[in-house]
Amino acid sequence: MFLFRSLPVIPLPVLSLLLPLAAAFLPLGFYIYKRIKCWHKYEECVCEINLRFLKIFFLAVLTANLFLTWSVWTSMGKGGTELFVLSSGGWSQTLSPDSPILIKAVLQVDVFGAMSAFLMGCIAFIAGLAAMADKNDTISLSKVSFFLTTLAGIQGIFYSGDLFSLFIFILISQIGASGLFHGILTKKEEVKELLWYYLSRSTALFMFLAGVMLLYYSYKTANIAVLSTMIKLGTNEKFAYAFLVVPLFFMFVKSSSYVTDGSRRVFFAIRAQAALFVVFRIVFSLYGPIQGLGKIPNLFIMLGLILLVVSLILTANEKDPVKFAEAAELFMKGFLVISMGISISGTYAAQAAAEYGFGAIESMVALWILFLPVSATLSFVCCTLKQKTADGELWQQQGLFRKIPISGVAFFFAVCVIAGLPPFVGFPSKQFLYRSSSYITPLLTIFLLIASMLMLLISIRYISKVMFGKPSDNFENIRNNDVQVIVPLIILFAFLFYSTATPSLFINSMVSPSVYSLLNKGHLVNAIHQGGASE
Amino acid sequence: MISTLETGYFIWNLSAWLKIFLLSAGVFCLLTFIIKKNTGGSLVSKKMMRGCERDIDEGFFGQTASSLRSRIMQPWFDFPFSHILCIVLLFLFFAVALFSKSGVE
Repeated sequence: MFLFRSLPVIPLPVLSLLLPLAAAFLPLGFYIYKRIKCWHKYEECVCEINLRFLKIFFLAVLTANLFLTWSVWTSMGKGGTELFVLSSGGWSQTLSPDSPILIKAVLQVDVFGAMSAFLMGCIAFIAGLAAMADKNDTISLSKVSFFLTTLAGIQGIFYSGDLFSLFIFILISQIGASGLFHGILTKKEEVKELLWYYLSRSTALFMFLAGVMLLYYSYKTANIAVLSTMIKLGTNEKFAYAFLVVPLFFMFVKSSSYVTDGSRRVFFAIRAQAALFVVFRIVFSLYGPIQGLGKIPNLFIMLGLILLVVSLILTANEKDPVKFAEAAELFMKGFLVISMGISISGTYAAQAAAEYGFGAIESMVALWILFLPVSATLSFVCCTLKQKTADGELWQQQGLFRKIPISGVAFFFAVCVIAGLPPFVGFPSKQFLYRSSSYITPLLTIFLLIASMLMLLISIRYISKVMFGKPSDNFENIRNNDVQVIVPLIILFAFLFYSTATPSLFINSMVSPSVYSLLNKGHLVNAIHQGGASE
Repeated sequence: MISTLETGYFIWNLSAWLKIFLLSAGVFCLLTFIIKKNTGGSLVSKKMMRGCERDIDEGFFGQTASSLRSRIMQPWFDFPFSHILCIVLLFLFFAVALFSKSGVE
């Protein structure tokens, strides 16, 4: 009744969060209802639904989500933070420290979260289009439901300012991602097969919860902004740091299992990006440059270097396109982790921040923004190459550029962005990183340059092997093409091309406000103590 | 002729970039010429091509990477508990970085 009364004055971010969540439960509820009905009648369950209706519903939800996230982002201005508090008096924009029991929900939206949600909304829309066009794996009730569950969970991650709500949304997104990976489990054998998968994901979630509990036990609050003003590094806080960062870092690095469906892979990439978003929040907004965390930057740099080396080894001579895409994504992740390490190291002193800190953070955020569109492009192209043909799979042929020209161009563009080749959009972020890494050690800069060059060479060799070369005798009989992913690829290509042509727009409207909002703890605290939006 | 291109954030000096690309292309062509001269018209020596009908032999980097991947990394990736192992290892790394007294402080 209370929720019903608060509906007419519901704020935009809350609506944007509730929409996919409610939409996810609708098909899932229908599916469960059907199953229970079949179970009562002891008959095999066939859950049939009009596909056209399902597609229209899915498209409408994704479009509405896109529009809502866009509205939230544009209403954010430049770097302010807005609170949306649901208390017994309805929705307000003030968090009252005197009456925490009456508060039912708190949403904290800043420009970084709002921009991330919009970016994710765009990519989810594109992935949805691809899923609807897929004729090999047609869209189903459970698939739509899991897509939307993942979307709702991730949206919640971007709009959360509280560690407990972050945990809930990570759990929701995990339910969605697990469903996308293996569908609904109906047999004991399937559960047994996935035992280790579930064990690892449960461990990660419990670790995160343990970290939240540790901080809550010490400070009686789980709000990131409030905690950031009170936190003092002791043994509990150090354990909490490890418990909070490790599971999300793991989810970022190992975001997906081997999946050959492009749209599913895109949702896994969205989840990886959201996991790193949480790491950013914990590392920069919650802890910040506290004395005693001085070795953490070196650890991140070391982990990033390991990821780079592993990705180069995995890409060299890899023939399977999906594995190649996984390894190329790992390369981007390596660069991101290194830029994060340098960024943390640059926040400890004003001089370091001026010399290389801000450059590294800008590089980190730019790489983070580009990760999703590039990884989506790679997913669509590489999953197209995995299509079945009469002789095996499409990638085993040569001269495929004649059959799938748009995929070929998009693949080349994505590779150039990954390697940071000028003038492609990956170059601004990379050049920030090269500049700032030279302050750590010039050897790191040289290593990064060589790694980028090797990646470019390996990728170009892979593309030329698949796209060009002498076609086989039965080449003309191949009926496969990339018509299913043409629209998603064109949209992604337009984004990458547009940001390549106008890097100022990319840096000024997306990167810089996000950096400001990530680092400026002051406006978060102001928003809480003064109430409402604060610059 | 326009020698610079302004895209807001960057000002590209087209003639300088053209020089860099031309120089790179020149070096690439020279290398190709030298290799072809030494191998008798082929980019890959006949020794390396022996026994291969379609695929080119992988070369030192490729072979090393392949053997590293198949012999050392893949067995670890194939373990069903590799994810748990990864989480534990990461936790240990962080614990060492957070609690050890030596090194940077």
